[in-house]
Amino acid sequence: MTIRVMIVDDHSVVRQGLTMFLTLDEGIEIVGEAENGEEALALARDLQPDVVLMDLLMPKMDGITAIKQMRRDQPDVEIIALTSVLEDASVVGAVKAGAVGYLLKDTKADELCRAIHAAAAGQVQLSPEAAARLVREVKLPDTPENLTERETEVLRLIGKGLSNKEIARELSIGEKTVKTHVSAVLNKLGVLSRTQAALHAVKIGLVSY
Amino acid sequence: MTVADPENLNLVSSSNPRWRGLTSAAVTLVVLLLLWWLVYRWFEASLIAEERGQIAVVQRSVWVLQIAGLLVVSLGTTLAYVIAMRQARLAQTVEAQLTELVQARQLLEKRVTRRTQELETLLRVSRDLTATLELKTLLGRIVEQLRQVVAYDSAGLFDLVDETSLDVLLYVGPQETSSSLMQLSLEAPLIVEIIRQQQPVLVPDTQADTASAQALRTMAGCPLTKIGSWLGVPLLLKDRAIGMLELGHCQPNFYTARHVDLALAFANQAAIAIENARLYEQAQSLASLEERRHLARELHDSVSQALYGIALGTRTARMLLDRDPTKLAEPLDYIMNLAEAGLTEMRALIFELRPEILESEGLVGALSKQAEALRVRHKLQVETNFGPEPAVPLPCKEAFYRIAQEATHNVVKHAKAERIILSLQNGEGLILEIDDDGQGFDPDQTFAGHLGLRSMRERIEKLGGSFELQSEPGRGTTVRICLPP
Repeated sequence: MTIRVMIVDDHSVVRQGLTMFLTLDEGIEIVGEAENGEEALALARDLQPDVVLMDLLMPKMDGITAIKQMRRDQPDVEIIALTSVLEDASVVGAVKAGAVGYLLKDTKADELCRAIHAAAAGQVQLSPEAAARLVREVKLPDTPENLTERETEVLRLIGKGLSNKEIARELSIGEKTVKTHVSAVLNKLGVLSRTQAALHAVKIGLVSY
Repeated sequence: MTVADPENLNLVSSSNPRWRGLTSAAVTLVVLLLLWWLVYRWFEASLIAEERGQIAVVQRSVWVLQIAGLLVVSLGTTLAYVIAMRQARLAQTVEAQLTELVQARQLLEKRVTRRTQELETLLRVSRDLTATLELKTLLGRIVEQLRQVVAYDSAGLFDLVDETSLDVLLYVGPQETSSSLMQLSLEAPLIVEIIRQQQPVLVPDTQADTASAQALRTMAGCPLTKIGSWLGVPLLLKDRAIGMLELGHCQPNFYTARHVDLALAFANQAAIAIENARLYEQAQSLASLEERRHLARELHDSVSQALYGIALGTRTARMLLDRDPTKLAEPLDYIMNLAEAGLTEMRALIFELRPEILESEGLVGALSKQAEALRVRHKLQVETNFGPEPAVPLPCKEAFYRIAQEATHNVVKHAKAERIILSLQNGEGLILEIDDDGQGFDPDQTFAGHLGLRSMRERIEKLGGSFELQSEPGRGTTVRICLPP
């Protein structure tokens, strides 16, 4: 099954290059392109992509605003923030808004494919430095609702960067059940993405980076 | 009455009242004696002549006359003396009063003259200070001008930093205090009084045993052998203390209440000037920050995207080389286009950073580059209509170039235009026109680009030119600047 990817970037040359490069990966299909946040929201509703690559600095509606709305409207769509400058503020903003991760527009294009596959599988991938900074800066709820033992276990595995399938295998339960647990965990923690849940796991010491 | 010493205003009377009384009495005595003697002689002669026979009567009359005469003479003399003395005293009182009046008037005149001088100095100082916007120059100017208002051997200007300490901005004078007075705690008693209570502090004698002198020595952390008299006043801006001005004089008891007033008045002017310079500095750094931000954004929008594209294209090409070399043309063309676009944009950016290139390439060359960048970067249809290079001075060319830059920037940012026409014609003056087919706007309303419009207008008007803007919603926008020949 190919991963249906949508590209959102205001620079046509970047969209062109990304499409050209990502099409080489047989597991990825580019289903659409948008040039700002507004267009992205409308298109994502039509296309129901699995993963959205989202530029942050865009006219009309910036990436962070679009991420926030898209996570609310379509929680199944995983979003990877794609940014050319490592601006702490916008990266933190993107994760806060619910992006599963972020990538720099740099020469490590292979990581792009890996990140898309990971996002589609529901894996959290953050570099230790990024995780450390995000744990510091992303505000997490002080008193989350109590998680059940199973949910805590799921949270720990999310924090370790496991995909839903891997969590299912680890806990010997069905993938669907994992999905239910994951959304329960996100709800109870009051967060928008697995990434934020993972950061919470780090913060409360369930996992260490 | 004469004024013997105008400086000390001592009025010296021409006569001593006692001498005056005695002189009057003596003169009266001589005159009365003479009169009496004349009357007596005349009486004696007439008696002898008319009544020779009555010698006894004559003898008695002569005695009576002699005694009466003596009585009159002594009485007259005493009276004369008393009157003279009273007159002298009266004159003295009047003299004293007059002296007092004259003294008061002269003192007043002197005060008015001095006050006028002080005010003139303050005004001059204030004018001079407010004309200086560069903070470092200003601080030097302040201590230099201060000398005209209040004498000093050492002077320090302090800045209130974050409401926690007073940091020295500038200090002139003997090194004894400068090392220890670089940073002052706001807890020091004298500083509390100056900064928190906004009161001046005068320490007439730094070596005295008073509380303030001791506090000053503690604060300085040294015996203050070179400073005899000390004065500290707050730098007040409206109701806020922004720092302190301190003065030291080698002579103990040199500073008085008058110096306090002067220093306060001066400090007020200095505070305004310092604040102005600060605001100016802030505005300058904000402007350059804005410039840098603009540049960073431009780089982000152009060169860094092009380079990222090149990286993606090259990766693609590399992979296709192994898999299917026949498909290499697409990524390679993509890379080439991006490299070209990147170079064009770099050139345009460098142009923006170094307007002196206007000199070598000319205004027409610069505008052509700008047009090219609009085509490449923003995919606009750009029509250019440039005449020959105009023969105008460089500052004019720069103004034209900057205005074109600002106007096209507005088109890209706000107009949603597809086509833009740039024209530069030199006939009845030099005319630059930027015309777009975008959405237009109502020029009477405040909108996002209005600050840019104002700066365009100011720029051309400064050179004696005119600025014209035509726009209405749905009808595009035309910016036209004209510099008369």
